[in-house]
Amino acid sequence: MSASTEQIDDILKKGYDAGFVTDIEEEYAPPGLSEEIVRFISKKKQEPEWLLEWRLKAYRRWLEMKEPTWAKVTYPKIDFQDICYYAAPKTNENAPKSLDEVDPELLATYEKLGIPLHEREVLAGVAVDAVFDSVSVATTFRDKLAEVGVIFMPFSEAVQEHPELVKRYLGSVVPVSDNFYAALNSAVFSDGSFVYIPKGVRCPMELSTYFRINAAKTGQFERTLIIADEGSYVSYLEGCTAPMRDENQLHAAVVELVTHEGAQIKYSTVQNWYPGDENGKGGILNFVTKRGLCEGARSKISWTQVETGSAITWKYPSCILKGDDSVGEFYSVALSNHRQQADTGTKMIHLGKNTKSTIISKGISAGHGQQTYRGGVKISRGATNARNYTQCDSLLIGDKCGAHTVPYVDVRNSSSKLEHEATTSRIGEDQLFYCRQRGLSEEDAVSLIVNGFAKQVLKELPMEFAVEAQKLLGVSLEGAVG
Amino acid sequence: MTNTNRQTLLGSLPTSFDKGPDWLRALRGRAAETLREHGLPTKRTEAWRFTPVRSVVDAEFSREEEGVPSLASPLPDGVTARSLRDVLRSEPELLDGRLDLGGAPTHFAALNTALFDDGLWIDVPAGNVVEAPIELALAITKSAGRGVVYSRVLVTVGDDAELTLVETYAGEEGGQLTNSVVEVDLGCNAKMSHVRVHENAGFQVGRVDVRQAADSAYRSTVVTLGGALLRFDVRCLLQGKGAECQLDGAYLIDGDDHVDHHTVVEHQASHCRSEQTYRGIASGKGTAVFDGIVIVHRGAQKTEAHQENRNLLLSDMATIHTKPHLEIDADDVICSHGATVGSLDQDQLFYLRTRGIPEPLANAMLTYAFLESIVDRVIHEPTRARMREALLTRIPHAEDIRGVT
Repeated sequence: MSASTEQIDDILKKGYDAGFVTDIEEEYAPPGLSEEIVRFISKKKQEPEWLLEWRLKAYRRWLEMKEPTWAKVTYPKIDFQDICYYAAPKTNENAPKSLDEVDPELLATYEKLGIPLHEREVLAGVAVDAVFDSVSVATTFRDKLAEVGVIFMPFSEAVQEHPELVKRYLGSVVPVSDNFYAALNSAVFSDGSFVYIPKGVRCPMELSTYFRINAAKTGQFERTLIIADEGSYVSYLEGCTAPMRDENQLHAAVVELVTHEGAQIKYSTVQNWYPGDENGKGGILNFVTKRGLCEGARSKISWTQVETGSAITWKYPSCILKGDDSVGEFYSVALSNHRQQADTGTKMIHLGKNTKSTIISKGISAGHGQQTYRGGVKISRGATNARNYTQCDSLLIGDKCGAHTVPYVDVRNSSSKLEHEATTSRIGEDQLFYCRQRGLSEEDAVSLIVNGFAKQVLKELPMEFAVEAQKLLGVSLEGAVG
Repeated sequence: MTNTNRQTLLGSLPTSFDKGPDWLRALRGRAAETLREHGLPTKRTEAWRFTPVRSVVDAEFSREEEGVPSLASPLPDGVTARSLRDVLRSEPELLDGRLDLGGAPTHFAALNTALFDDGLWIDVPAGNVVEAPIELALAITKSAGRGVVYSRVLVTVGDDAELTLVETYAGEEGGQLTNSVVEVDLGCNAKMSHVRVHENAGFQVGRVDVRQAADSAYRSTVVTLGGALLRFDVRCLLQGKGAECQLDGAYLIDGDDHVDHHTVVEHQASHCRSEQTYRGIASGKGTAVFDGIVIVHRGAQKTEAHQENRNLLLSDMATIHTKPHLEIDADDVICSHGATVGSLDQDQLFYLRTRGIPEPLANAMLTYAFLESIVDRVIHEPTRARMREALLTRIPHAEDIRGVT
């Protein structure tokens, strides 16, 4: 019943649809990192003095820090002096005010990617902030959102228009010295999205950011900050793509979420950065710090991620459950094919009473892919009646891939209850046989089984993302079974 | 007998080794070199993150001479037990390649390798099935100064042979530091059941290293009843096709105890099977750590590996760390692991109380039953009964529980 290696190889050599380069005039900062570059970026953004100071502090901390080596990933050494820390499409002096002012090339790019950037695509019902290399190019539906008091704008604009909010929350969840990549991001972040949902408001539509790395030899360092004030709710989607290039490109983002009493943030990611070719050449090095703080009682943060891209993924979206009765969730499907390596998972830190967390992680490895779930659950002394449930399953396709599970569990409160379970296996021959016997082709059978395997996570995704995610999983895995 | 010259552990390493056969001098030299280069572990060493070894690493010790566990049972026919020192003098070639812990001794095992003076070699020749268990005991005595003991045991079980080994490490609070290494070599189709009891083992770093040939079976049951600082590592290398290992453990801690159990199972060949079941109870201000790794090497197809760690946390001042861990590089495998931390099941308590059992006794019964399920897996009946009894002495209302079970 096993497909030949050639067959598998054929299928694994699937194309990367988003791998085109947009020919557009861009403005660069010279490569390399120094205080001057940090000042240059800050000046370019016309930032206030306090933010420049904040960046410089981060830069100085970064200089003292060492690149982390504990993750189970290998990649060529990153030369931080060979990267451009700022690249922006050249526009007329000011940033575009409406879509008409946006470079048509750029719009065509997003069109190709199928992002409902244009407002006439109202049917999609999604407000989009699109980040192209280092700057945010357009944010849709701003007026409609403003009516209910929701602030959704590029980070650089928020710095100008809502400095008090930015100053209060920036770095409050991920401090500048949190880790090597977070410090780097804090020093050189160029843009990103800023969201504030006022008290008691349920955001009328799903908010979305689309990240696109275009320029060669650049890094992307975006920063997202989402604040949900008391009793509010927002669902936020994030998607990413990049052109196919032979050299690795660095992506080091920071995402901070804060929920106040009774508020809820649902954060969904479909990450499809260029994974490199089948020999592991090129691809995005994705080093991301994402963390949410459930500040208020009864608040909730839910992370859902579908990770199919990037050569290296180093990402641990986490929740700090500080408010009593707060809830943290993490749903993840990660797929590594070819030479992709993913070291991903979550951290749930229970501080408040009656806090609950759920972790569902599904890893799929194929080809020479390497997959690691690395998670931590910490229940502190004061977290009375805390509850955690963790399940991480791995599916192996082919005899050259690897799947690893590294959970850390730390419990200091006797009334808490914690369960962790994990399984690793390949697609069952009896399952395949059953499907084939019912007339499904081998490819359809595999697709069915893989989608079934990931269903628990996919069902957490908002509709339009779920479709995309299923497609992504399907394309990369059809028939790739031995 | 006690050498009153006190030194730190690393400070006691000689600069050169001039006694014994060439291979042993080279082995000790390598171990000492590793130690000088990397030192002893600190909190920053991943596998030692939770083990407060600083008090041991920084302290000064005097070397105690007696480190050889004594035989606590008559030696069955066909089994030889010889002093390592004697064999190294008379027939050193017999031990060549058998004391190197699979190639790369590190940390405390390297220290033991560099410094052990004597030890015991238990050998069961091929085809010899030994029914009665061999019992070894090492008493951990309270020394006037702070002493360190290096204990070394080598067990070789020939093809188709069978052995049951029971080791007891018992001592008084605040005793010496015991650094023990046990190496086991199992031939094809050999079977070994290995029971190890730590009773108040004081300060101890222990390591068991097992190398398994095809179709061999190794069963280990570790029972740890308290310990000021106990770090115990079991490593099984499944090197031959069809080998099996079963690692069970129970730990019960209280007061300021710190016990730390680590397991490593390496599936290096295909068609091997491994199962690990560890259960622990922490109360008082104790800290219990479980860290288990299953490594499935490339090509080790048809592997089946399971790992389970369950814990009861009975006090808000106690701490449990658990890290079951899988590293899998083959695809035709069935692997699973699970870990839980919680308190006594309220439904079970309720059930017992409705049967008229007072709450303190019900608590004690459930606590006992939680660990007894591990002890029950010991095959040899007298040993099992003895371990039950050892467990009961640590549980309140032991008299009443004896009456029930």
